[in-house]
Amino acid sequence: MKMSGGLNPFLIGAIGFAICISSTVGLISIILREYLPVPLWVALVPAAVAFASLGVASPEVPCMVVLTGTELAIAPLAASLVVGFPASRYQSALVVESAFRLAIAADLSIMIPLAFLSMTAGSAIRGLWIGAGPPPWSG
Amino acid sequence: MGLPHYLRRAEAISGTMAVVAMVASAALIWAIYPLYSDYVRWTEAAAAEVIAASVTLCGDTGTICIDAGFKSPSALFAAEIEALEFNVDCQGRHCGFYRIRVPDDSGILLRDVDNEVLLQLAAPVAPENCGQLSRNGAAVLSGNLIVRIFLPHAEHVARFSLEGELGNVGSDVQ
Repeated sequence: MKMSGGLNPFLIGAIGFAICISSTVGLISIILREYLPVPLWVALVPAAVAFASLGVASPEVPCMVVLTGTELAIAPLAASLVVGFPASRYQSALVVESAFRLAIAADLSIMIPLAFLSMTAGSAIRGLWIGAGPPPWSG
Repeated sequence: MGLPHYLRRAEAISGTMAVVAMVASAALIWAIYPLYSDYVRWTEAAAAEVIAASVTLCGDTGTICIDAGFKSPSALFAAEIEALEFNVDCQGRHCGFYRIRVPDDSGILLRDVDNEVLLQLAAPVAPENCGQLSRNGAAVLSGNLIVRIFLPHAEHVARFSLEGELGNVGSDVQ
């Protein structure tokens, strides 16, 4: 409760779930970009919105770090497992392995910067438009 | 004591944004995954075979004629048979590599229907291989049927292996 900065813990849980799902889908879209019927940047919008929602809620720093870190750990693994699922038993391991490498690279080079930018944008929305003032951790 | 109204507003907006992100993610996966799983299923189910293959020799020239079949289930994407590439081996000796380009109108695979294509292809035999083919009776061809798959943002090339005996190795020497 303290880590959530007085926010509803269910809301924090929902945001964490949304971040996890949208990051996984974003990584799947990057891995399977040739099958994507829309431009690649569109596929990253849900993840950006989910991270921005965390910025808008602005819980305490440890909570934000835990949520972002969990995304970092879970999303590449989940994305590579989802990509490998339709492949046959014999090819599945190879597909999962190459998808995992690509997912890790995309996570480090795209998702983490996207997360920081989106959370900052979310905090700006909180301060400027909602009028809730700066996040509690900004000093 | 409840939260101040502006914090409740921030909570409501961030909750709405999280829900929007989840719904958008579901829509996105709904758009990608059927096409991807269809591609995987299609490439595993499609198969090529040699129905008949023969070589006709006439002095130091000759022609290889191949009837090749290709069966594929219905798919969400279009595809086209591009070429047939194969090696000919006569009793362990290599007798040439051939690439026959499939005519544009005969290799088209339609989307959303099961396709069964019969290709009748021919290629001239290189003069240096005619002697080998006429001396050694049995010849075997093994190669790949090359299929170009048209995806939304890319074209993939899939190779379907085929193998068969090159029958009727005869000479029409006059």
